[in-house]
Amino acid sequence: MKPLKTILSALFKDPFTFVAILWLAIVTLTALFLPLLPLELSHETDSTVALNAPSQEHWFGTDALGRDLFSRILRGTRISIACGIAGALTALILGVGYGLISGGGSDRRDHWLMRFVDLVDSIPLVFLVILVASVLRGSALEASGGGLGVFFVILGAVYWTPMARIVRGETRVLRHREWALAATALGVPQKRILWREVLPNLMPTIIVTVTLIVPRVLLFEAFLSFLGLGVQSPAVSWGTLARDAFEVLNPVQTAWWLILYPSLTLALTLLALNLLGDQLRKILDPKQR
Amino acid sequence: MQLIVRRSVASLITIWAVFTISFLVIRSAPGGPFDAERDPPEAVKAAIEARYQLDAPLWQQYLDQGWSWLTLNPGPSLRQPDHDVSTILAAGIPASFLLGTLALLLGIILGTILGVIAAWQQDRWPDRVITLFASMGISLPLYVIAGLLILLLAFQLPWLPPAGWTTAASAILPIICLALAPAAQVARLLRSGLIEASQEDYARTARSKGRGVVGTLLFHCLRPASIPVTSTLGPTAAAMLTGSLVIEQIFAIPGVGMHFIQGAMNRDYPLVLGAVLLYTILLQILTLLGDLLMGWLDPRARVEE
Amino acid sequence: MISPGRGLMPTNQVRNIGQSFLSGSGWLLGGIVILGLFMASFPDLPDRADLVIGNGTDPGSLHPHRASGIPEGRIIRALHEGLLLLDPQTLDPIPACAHSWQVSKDGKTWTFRIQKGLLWSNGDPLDATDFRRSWLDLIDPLRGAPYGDLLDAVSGAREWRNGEGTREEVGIQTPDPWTLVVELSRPLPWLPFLCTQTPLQPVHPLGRDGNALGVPTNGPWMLDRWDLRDRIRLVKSPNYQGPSRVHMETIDFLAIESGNTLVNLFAHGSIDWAVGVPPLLMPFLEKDPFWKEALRTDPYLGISFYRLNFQKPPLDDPTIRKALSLTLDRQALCQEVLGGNLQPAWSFVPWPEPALAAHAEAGNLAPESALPGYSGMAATINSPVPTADLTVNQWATLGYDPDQARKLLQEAGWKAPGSNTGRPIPDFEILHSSGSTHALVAEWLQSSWSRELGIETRIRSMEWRSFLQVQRSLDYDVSRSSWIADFPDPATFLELFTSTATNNRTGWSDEEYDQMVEKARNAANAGVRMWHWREAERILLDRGPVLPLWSTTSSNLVAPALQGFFANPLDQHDLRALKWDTP
Repeated sequence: MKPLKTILSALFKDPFTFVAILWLAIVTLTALFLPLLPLELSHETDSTVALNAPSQEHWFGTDALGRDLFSRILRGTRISIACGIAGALTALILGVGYGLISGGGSDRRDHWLMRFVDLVDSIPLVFLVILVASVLRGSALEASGGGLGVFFVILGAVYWTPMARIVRGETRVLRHREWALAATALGVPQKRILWREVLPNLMPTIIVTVTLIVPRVLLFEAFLSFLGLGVQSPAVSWGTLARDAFEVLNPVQTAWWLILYPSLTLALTLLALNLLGDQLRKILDPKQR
Repeated sequence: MQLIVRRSVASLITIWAVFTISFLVIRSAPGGPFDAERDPPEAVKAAIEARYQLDAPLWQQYLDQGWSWLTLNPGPSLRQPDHDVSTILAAGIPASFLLGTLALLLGIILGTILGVIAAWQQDRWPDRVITLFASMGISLPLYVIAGLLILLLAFQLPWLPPAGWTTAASAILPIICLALAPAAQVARLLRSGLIEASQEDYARTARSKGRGVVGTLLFHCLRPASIPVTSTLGPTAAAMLTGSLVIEQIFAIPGVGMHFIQGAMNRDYPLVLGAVLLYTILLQILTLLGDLLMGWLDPRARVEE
Repeated sequence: MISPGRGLMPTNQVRNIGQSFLSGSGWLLGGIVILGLFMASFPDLPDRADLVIGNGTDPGSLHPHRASGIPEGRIIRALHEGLLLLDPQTLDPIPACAHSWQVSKDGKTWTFRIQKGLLWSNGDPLDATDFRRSWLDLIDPLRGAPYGDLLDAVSGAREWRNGEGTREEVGIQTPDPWTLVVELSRPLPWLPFLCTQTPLQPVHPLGRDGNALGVPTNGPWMLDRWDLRDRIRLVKSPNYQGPSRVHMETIDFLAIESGNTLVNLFAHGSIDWAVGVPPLLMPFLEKDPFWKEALRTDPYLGISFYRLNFQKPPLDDPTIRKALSLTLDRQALCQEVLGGNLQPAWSFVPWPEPALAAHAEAGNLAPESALPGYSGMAATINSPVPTADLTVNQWATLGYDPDQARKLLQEAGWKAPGSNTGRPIPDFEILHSSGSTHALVAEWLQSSWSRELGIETRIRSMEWRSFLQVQRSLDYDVSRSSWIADFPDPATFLELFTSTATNNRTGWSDEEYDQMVEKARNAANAGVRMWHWREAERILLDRGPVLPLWSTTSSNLVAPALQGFFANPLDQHDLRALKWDTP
């Protein structure tokens, strides 16, 4: 694996990637330190200012209920970023763990574990997620404070199989490298080889995959929001904002700010993540482009 | 031959497992199909539930459901008792199939064209534009794109109807919307595949023999470069289900997709199971086809099997 | 990634090119075949129907006994015709299958005289025995019709449903094929109204198994096709002998879930009447003169309210309940939070009269189509029942007075804001079913109670079926609810909270209230009945488990050239009256 410095300098060399990283940093920092920012985030409805275009007072305008769109986007950032990270983390833990166990074990075990992944992939997960989300929504689990957490985990659970497949494939390749075979011959326990030798070598692949999973999680959250199964009000996410944007699209007159700003925020973030993922892949794994 | 038999057996087991899991999940969801804000009296509700054998023990209902699907006679839907579940699903298949197939086809064609252009114009502005488009295609929720396209193509330039499924014209907009994601996917993969392939020895040979750059890309690199594309087509096709749920709702298309959501929300047990089974079987077939196609494209894959 | 085959020789390449090209055109060919195949598979609709209605979800069932939704009702009322119809403008019951009807002095025996020569759509004759059979099937406990309890007042019906009687003992008789006599155990002044509604419409013998497809109907239209989740087409029935002269040859009902799609299709001219407009779009539509004319929002006989669970502290405490209600400014909720022209509800029974008056003041059409007070429905052409002289001003109402609320709390020993003594009020949970409007209202409740009373609440949102389950099993503290009138009489609202009612769902049981409801039910005189209802409402508001918030509104987009669409608080618009304005 290349030293961090080389990677970073390679990343920053490309102006697009630099902008992408800058944007992602801004978004993440906003999400993290939102309560500390000197901003007044109201989410009160106020019919006197309903559907106002952007102005000094409301930078991004107001929605149909007179809520300040800028505040809503900032509040949404917090939840959406949490969704993305939590979802990716779930996928990471499940996928990497499963992939290592499967790829690192006997061929027989590997075979059956992979059949299980095939099985999971043939269940229409969209449907399962919808069902599970509706079962869990308002269940004791959610009420007892699991709340959004449950939702995040559901999001992550959708994307663990690709991660498991990739990790498993790489593990099998790495295990048959000379150094791994040598270590086995020397009597080093398999677990140790996997944990200490194989896993670090998997890092580039894992990082790239995670970078590319986050945008998919965010899009899936937006999809669930469209179906009304996403984050529930009063919480706001980019997905619910995008749905609100869709809902005010009409052939008579359109409040462009309700569509432009949330879409732009979401699109820029996803673009930046995809760009960063691609760029990382190029740098970490020069074989591929 | 033996391969196909083995695959079929594996598929059957998969289908059974999916059926069982789905049955358990849907039956563990709280609330029943006949709940309403205005609930009928207990006795009446019990009578309704008895009509559909919902009062039987769960294991028996499981066996009954399984048997009814084996005999292809799943009985009426719980929400639409005038119709059999098989009729309801069958009614949705033509629209869904047409929408899915054409969108996938358009996506592949569009993606191929864009991918070739991008690889040919590598790092020049057409490449940049296409890369940006390919990223945009997967950076905005489909419903926002669809909403904007409707405003543009149905109202600003009144060329196409905004929704419905009555004429060929009404199918154009939804197909375009649904094709965006696969197009972006194919373009991205093909571009990188082509660029990689164009640096291989045989591509150099071809160029040195006087083939133009485009010719080399099309006639020498396209086939090897399409292997990774093909390997993702199965999952892409499956993922289009998500998109079609949105598209069906926005364009009021009478497809199968909405049954997944509405069946689940209405606790229409047989309908949900039917939709899931349909999807699973379709996915098994698609995967098999994808593998066969892979084998044809890349002879070594056949050897490995 | 798999690296491409290095070993292939250029000569092989040529062959492969040919192959890949062949396969390319193969794909193309396949594509064209698929295209051609399916272009042919679009529904071959001859023409646009005379009237196209965007009807919301695809109907569950078209069987009058099985259907329960509003989209279903719209279609079934066109397919079937009951003993009576509602006058499209005044909502008075008018003759349909019955040409006249009368009620005995004590209000317990109704006699309907049925028109001769009526036919089902397949040509079979239709007479009183069809109505008797259908009504008995509706009551039949084993058939499980969800609206069977509408006829509980028929003598013997309740007993049969409770397993203590038989079908033959139910008081519906046909002395001759043209007379239907209904014996009641208590007066049912709204029976003429019920005769106009879907559950009491006749069902052909072929439909007794509960199926509606291929079963003859007796209305002016009949079912031509049902493309699932797409459209239902009705065509004029050749055998219709009823009194209505209808103007539409064909009617399409489109199954469209999304409100945005409805608006788009209406804008495009593909539908003439869109049912239900997304509230979010209303402010946009109202700005445009064309849309303003097309958009009809009318008061609706329904109530949005919250249930309070009597089994959960602190809601078992009468002072708390009163204080919670006194701190809710429904006027502000309707004007500032929800927008639109919703009417704040200060009583549980919504009164359409003031709503319609306000509606008319705002420059809307047809104030005369208001229900003339609830008891007006009891007026019939042949045997007028005196209209109650009770007006909305005499009805019991709630108030908005946060100071009073705090005072009450303090007096009862609770800790009110601004004082340091008293028991603290335990926090509780606000439960609503998922939906953006519901969430907004829950947030408004939360902030009102926290601001005025210092009560902290949590908000919990649940998916619909799970929500119903939780509400039924009394597993909530306060929960969102709504109720729509089955018939225009306070009974449809106030019977909801008797101790034995199926849909009480609050754990509240009050003997005095039960008695008052019973008195109102049994009163033969309409005026007396209304005074009893008034008293029941007073008890309900004073002790009861409800926080009424606003009375509901219906919204429709109607092509301006469509005539015969009148504002009315039941949102029932008879298709028989609709016709196109031809200049």
